[in-house]
Amino acid sequence: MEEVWKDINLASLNDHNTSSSSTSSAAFIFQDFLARPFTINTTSDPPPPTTTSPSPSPSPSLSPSPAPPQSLTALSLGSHHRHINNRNHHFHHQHPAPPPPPPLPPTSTPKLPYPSSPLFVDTLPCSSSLPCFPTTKRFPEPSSDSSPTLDRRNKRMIKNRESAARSRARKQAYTNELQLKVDHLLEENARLKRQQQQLCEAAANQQKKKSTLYRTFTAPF
Amino acid sequence: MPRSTNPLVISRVVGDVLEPFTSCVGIRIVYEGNTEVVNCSELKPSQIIHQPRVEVGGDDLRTLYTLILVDPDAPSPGDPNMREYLHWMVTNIPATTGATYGEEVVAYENPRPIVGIHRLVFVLFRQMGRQTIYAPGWRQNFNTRDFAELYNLGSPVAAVFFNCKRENSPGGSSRRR
Repeated sequence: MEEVWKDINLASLNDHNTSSSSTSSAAFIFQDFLARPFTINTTSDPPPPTTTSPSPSPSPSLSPSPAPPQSLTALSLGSHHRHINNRNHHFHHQHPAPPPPPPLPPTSTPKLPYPSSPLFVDTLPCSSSLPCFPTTKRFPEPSSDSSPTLDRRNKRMIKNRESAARSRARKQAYTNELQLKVDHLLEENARLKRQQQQLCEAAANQQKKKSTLYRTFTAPF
Repeated sequence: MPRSTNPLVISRVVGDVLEPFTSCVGIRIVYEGNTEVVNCSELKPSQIIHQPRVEVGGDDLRTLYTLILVDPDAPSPGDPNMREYLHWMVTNIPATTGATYGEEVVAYENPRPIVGIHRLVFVLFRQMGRQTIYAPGWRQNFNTRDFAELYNLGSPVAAVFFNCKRENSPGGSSRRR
C-alpha cells in the first residue's frame, strides 16, 4: 500500500514539475514537493485522512470536499482513496501512516489530466531524477499549524540537506585528492630511490676506476 | 551519471565554474607561511591576506598565461547570488615564471567569507599571444566561461581550489559539545 501512496505523490510531483517552469535542481524539487501539499491544505478545508487514526472513517473526511466542481476523475480518485483507506483500515491497523497525500490535487491544479482511477496506478511515470525518499516521518502531520511555520521549517530542512550534500561532496573530494597525492608521491618516491641507487652505483664505479689511475704523463719520473 | 574521482568534479568546481577540461600545465600556488594550496584543503582568511606565490609550468617563455581567482559561493554557498566574485586577475604571465612577472589587471582582494564554507578557485588559461585584457566593471557576478570566450582563451589549462570559511565563527569550535 505504501507504494501506492508513493506513486501518487511522485505522479503529482511529476505533473507539477512539467507544468511549471522549474530548473532541474533537486533543491527546487524538494521545496516544491514539500510546499505543494501545504498549499493544498490551506486551500482545501479537510486535512487528508491518515490511516492510523482509528475512529474517523475515511468517507466523512473526504466528503466535505472543496466547493469547486470536481471532475469525474477526481471523484474516482477520491473513491479509489476511500477504497484503499478502507482496506488499510481493515487489514493494517498498525500500518505506519503513509504520507497524507493531497487526495484531490486536480482541484488545485485543474490543468493536470489525471487518468481514471483503475489506470491511475499503472500509468504513473516514475521520473528517475526524483529521489524516492521515505515518505512517512518526513511529512509533518497536517495539524492546526499555520503554513508559514511549515514553510520555514521546510526551507530550513532543504537548506540543511543542501548543506549536508555539500559537506559530503567536500569530504569525498578531499579524500580523492589525498589519494591522488599519495599515488603521485609513492611514484615519485620510487623513482627517486631508483635514481639514487643508480647514482650510488655510478659513484662507486667511478671510485674503483680512480684507484687504478696513476700519474703517467704529468711526472715522467 | 559517471562517477569521477577528480576532486574538481566532485566538489562541483567543474560544473559551477568551469566546463570539463584536461589539465596540461603545472601550477603551484603557495601562500605565506609555506602553505601550499592543495585541492579542497582548507585555509583560514588570516593565511590568505596577501597574494600567494604562483609558479606556472610550461616550457616556452613566449607562452603567456592568464590567472584568475574566483569565489563561486559568494555571498553564501546556499544562496550564491554574487557568483562568481573575482578576487584577482593577472595576465601575460610567461611560462615557467610567476604571477609577479605578469600584469595585475584586477588587484588581489583577500577573501573574507562571512557565511558558509566558500570554494576559492584559481584558474589558469593559456593566451594565444600577448593580449590586453581589461578588468570587468565590478568584481561580483563574474562569469569565468564568458570571460574565457570573450578573450578567446579556450579551455583552462590548470585549476586549483581551496576552501575558506570565516575565522572564529560564532558557536564554532569554541563551543563545547
